[in-house]
Amino acid sequence: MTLRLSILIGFVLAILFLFSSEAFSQAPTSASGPQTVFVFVQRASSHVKYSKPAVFHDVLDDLMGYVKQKNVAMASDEFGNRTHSEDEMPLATVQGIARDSGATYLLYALVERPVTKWIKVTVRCYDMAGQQLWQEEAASGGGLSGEHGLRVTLDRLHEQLDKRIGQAGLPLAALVAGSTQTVPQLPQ
Amino acid sequence: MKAAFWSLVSAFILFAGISQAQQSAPEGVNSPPSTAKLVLRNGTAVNLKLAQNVNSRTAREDEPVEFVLAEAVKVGDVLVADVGSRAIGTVIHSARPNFEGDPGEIAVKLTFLKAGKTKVPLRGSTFEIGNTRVMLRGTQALIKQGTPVKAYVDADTEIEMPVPTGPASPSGEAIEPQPSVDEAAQNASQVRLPNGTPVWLLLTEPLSSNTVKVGDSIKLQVLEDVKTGDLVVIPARTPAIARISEAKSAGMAWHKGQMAIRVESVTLIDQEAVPLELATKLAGEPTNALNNWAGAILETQGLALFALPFAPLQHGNQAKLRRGAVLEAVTGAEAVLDRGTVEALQPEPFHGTGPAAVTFYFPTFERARFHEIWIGSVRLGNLKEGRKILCQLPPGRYSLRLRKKARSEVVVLEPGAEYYVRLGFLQALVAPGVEATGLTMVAHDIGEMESMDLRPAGFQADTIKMSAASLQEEPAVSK
Repeated sequence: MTLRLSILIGFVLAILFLFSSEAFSQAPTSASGPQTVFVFVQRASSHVKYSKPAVFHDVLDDLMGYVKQKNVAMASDEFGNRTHSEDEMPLATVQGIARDSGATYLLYALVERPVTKWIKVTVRCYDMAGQQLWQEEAASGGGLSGEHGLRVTLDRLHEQLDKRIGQAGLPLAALVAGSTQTVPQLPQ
Repeated sequence: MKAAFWSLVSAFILFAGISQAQQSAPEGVNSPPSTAKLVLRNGTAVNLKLAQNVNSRTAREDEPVEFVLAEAVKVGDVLVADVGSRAIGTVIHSARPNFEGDPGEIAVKLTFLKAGKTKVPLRGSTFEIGNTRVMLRGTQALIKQGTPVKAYVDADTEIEMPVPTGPASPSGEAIEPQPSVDEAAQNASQVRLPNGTPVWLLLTEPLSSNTVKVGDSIKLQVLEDVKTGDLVVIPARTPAIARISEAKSAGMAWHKGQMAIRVESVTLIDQEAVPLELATKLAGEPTNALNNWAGAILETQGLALFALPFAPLQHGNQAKLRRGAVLEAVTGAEAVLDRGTVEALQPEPFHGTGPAAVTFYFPTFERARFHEIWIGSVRLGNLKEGRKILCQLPPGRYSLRLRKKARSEVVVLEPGAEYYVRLGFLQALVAPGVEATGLTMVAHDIGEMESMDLRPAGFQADTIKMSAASLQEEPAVSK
């Protein structure tokens, strides 16, 4: 009787050991691999209609410069070399590019020109399943010129993003062991 | 009690050992992740769709454009690129509309398809032209997301793919079955013209939307030899079958004429036909009625305003294609020819003797009154618009110019060959920053067609009797 009970307990322990070791070995790679973010800046149709391409490129340069300065681990699109689009591009296409680049997160910045504002920049963070993790936005309608509005908007955006550095969506390259991610070169 | 303890320990060790053994077993034993090197052949059709909008307002040349695969690409039964796989194109031309009513233009060339980790080169393109508008700016050209685009694989491309079934080599590498000796011999005895091979066609008659009817056949011929390796598969000047698929004459109120052309097939060197794919649509040029009326009103100090109510009686321009226009079609199917037949039918290489014949011509679509023609230090004369002149020149190197002290076009003439030189700056393609010479050496057949209806020049040029040294003199200003 005791012998049978012992064998049964041994069997149960072995099964538990088997499942626990398998579960450990099958942990998602995203949790164990280096986390990177693919940054994409989209120009909205309202900005195309009522603003200038140079303003959009100022935002693009600023945002790329910001993540570089903050040492964020970025994924680059080696196949298509995309960082932005001035034509309408569906979010699904951008998510496809992000997936293609091997990123863990997508940082999608939408540059708009609302009627009552000089500029509005909305930054949304998605995971690779397409779920939105967080969103930050900054806009400015004050001042006498669009240039002032742009500066104020970007400063506000930096302040908001500063709080998220090192968290989901903005992983730091320094914290990622062996990260080989490259940051796109910005035009001088 | 002791026996029970040891039984428990031994049972645990036994099960743990089995589970570890299962985990550490080589992958190849349970699930062989074999790979195969597959070759995606040149000419394989690739059906794509645009994954973004492209607008002449925002698109810039050399910018990437996103496409996705609309139909899966397979090699045999093996899927190499699934629906939704990414492809990239490049904007090769973008022009915004202007206030003369000209529409925006956009053209995108396909570059690569992503198949696994491999970049598969593609050939193919798509373009769009906005609408011409009278007295308003033309509309932007827009290619919408989801627009289907057909492309072709541009070169044989080796793709390494995981294959779930099939024989695996001991090293875990399953190679595509090697062709048998018979298949290899068959391949060596055949010449393959891939699907999607570009074929340049020359129009040998002028077309206008007010004279053509739907179903009319069009005279087109192959401009250049189409080759597979060193073998000519479609010789130059082979006629192609094409028809008018849509025709609408220009009408009042500036309604422009329209016509559409559908190219059907061409005959191969072995007299078999291969289908061609080209469907192109043409519309009349803008009338510039706004500028004309504004100019008329200013010049007549307002009197032309009285005629303005009759302005809508004005017709739009007919859609026209001049003789000598070149269209690009692609083969619509793979053609396999017998190598022996193809080799036997190869055209003889040209071996000319005697002086070369050079025809200078000044087509009517250029807008100038006349151009001078200089060869070396010899001035031939003034060639007026719509005229041509034939010169016989001994073989050698010559500097051709439109003025005495202008940049030269240097040409080397072969014995017995015929050359055509077009005068004018409108169609002269030059590198940025380089001064145009206004002289363009055009392909023989294009020159022949473009100059066919032109009248002879009003002067004689008996160059064969002139001093060869003067004709071949290099001017000091030439670069």
